[in-house]
Amino acid sequence: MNSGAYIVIHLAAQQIAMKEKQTKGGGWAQEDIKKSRLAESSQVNNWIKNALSQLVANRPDDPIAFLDQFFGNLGENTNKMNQALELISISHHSNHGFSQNATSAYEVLSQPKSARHPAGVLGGTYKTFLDHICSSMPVEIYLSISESLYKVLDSSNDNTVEKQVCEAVITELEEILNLSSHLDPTSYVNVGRKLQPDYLALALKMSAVNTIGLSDAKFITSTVDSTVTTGNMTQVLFTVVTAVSGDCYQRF
Amino acid sequence: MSEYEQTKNGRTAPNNTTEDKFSLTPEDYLAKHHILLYLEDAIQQLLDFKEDYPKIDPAQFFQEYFSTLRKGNHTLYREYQFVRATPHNRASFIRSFWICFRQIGKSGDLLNVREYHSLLCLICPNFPLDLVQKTACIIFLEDAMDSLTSFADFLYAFQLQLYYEEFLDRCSDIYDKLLTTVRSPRGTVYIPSASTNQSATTAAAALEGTTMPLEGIAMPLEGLESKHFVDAVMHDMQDIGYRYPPASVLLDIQSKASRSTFYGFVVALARSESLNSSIGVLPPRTEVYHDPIEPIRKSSHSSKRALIKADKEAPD
Repeated sequence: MNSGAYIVIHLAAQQIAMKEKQTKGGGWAQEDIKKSRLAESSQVNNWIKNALSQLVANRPDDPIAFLDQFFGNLGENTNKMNQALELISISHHSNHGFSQNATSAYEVLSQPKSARHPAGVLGGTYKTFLDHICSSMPVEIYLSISESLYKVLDSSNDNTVEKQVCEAVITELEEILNLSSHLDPTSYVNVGRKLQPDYLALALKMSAVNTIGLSDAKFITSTVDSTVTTGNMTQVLFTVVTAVSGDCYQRF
Repeated sequence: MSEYEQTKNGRTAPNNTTEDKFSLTPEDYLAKHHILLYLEDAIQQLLDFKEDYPKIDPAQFFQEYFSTLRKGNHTLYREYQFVRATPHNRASFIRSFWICFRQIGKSGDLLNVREYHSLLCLICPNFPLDLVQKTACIIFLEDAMDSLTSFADFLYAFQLQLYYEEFLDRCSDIYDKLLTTVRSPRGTVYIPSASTNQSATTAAAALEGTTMPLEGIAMPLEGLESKHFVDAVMHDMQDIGYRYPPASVLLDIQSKASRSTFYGFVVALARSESLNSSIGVLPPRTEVYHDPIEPIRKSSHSSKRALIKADKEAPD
């Protein structure tokens, strides 16, 4: 957050604090009431400051809804996962405030259960977190990933890819998806092995040459079908695209 | 024009691009949405409430404050200064007035404007009479506080008067200015209306200028050319920072009549369904006696939160 924004927030919080002091007025009967009120007012000040800094960083379209949610989350009994998910979903990742939100989400998730436990995000927590994010992913994302995969394979840039290449890639994807499973963590190691450049090159070589190309639409539908029906294979798909695109650019 | 509508119209535009949002300075962004006003008001309300209920939990208080703010119920029983402070407040108040008193209209009772003012005072203790008088002018073209009117007529005129008060004042000034410049150099031309006026005939005959006889009567034209007036209004809208209706509404009114008086223009605005839906708190006039369906603000966040909570707890 730049210094200008910080100054605004600081001034705004000061204004609000001054208003508080003005209306408090009078003398309080007891010292402890005074102390608890001061503690409370500093707590309120902190809330206001946090609310303003999040607003300025994220610039939500509906700030009132945002504030409603913000103050709704002040309660202690809100699930940490929900808090983290809401922090991540406040703004798009291209926004300035996103990295701040991601850091806050990490801090929420990594809080230890007690002083004896070390702080940090457990693998299981992380995976559930990703699952929740991916569960709301629309099919369009699979479509665009498949499109980019097609473009990568289209080395001659004429919007056609040889059928054998398409079929090789599709077969590889299906095999990979059949290999991996939630229950067996080592299956991911097998998947990684299959995605190595040598194996991919071998797969491409082994398919027969055919001059008729597969249209991009057909390629996309078959890749999307195979990935979507095998469930939550998002991580695998991301790995596939990066592996294939990275490797193809290196080789050709 | 649309950029102006985004920053100057009370409601935030639904499709703000990222660039628009971040091109504003933090101060401008906060001012545009009246955020500091609401935060200060929340604290003031908390302090007032604490005097009677010292054990109130501030977190809970703020939760309720912002929840009612979002639903649009926050202006009930508040002072007039707060009601008129932001577009959201004005719109919420109009909607609250409709929800509270639409039963009166249902039974077909006609009330006079003074009685509507009393109703307003039930939900806003210091609601001023002059705003209600201005509303009466829209309905009756004169300050007729004892004339009877239906709830629907009053409601839509009131909505226009309260939500666009500054805009109407500005239009009135523009209209008067244009009228004085238009009348002076030229003479009279024919009006197509049926009404005739003997004294106007003699006055018109006395003025210079060409007249084209139609049944032998010449009369001064009422009002201004719609296009001329609406153009002047739209030009003004770009310079000054008050809230104004969407340009499409004004152009629509302009197209319906080639000439209009100021009150003809205002009445057309009050009856305009596109204006009503752009404000977005009242139903179309035909449904004014139906029950309200949903609160004025919807968010996808609340439903998403409910979905997440429905899942089983994540292992920590």
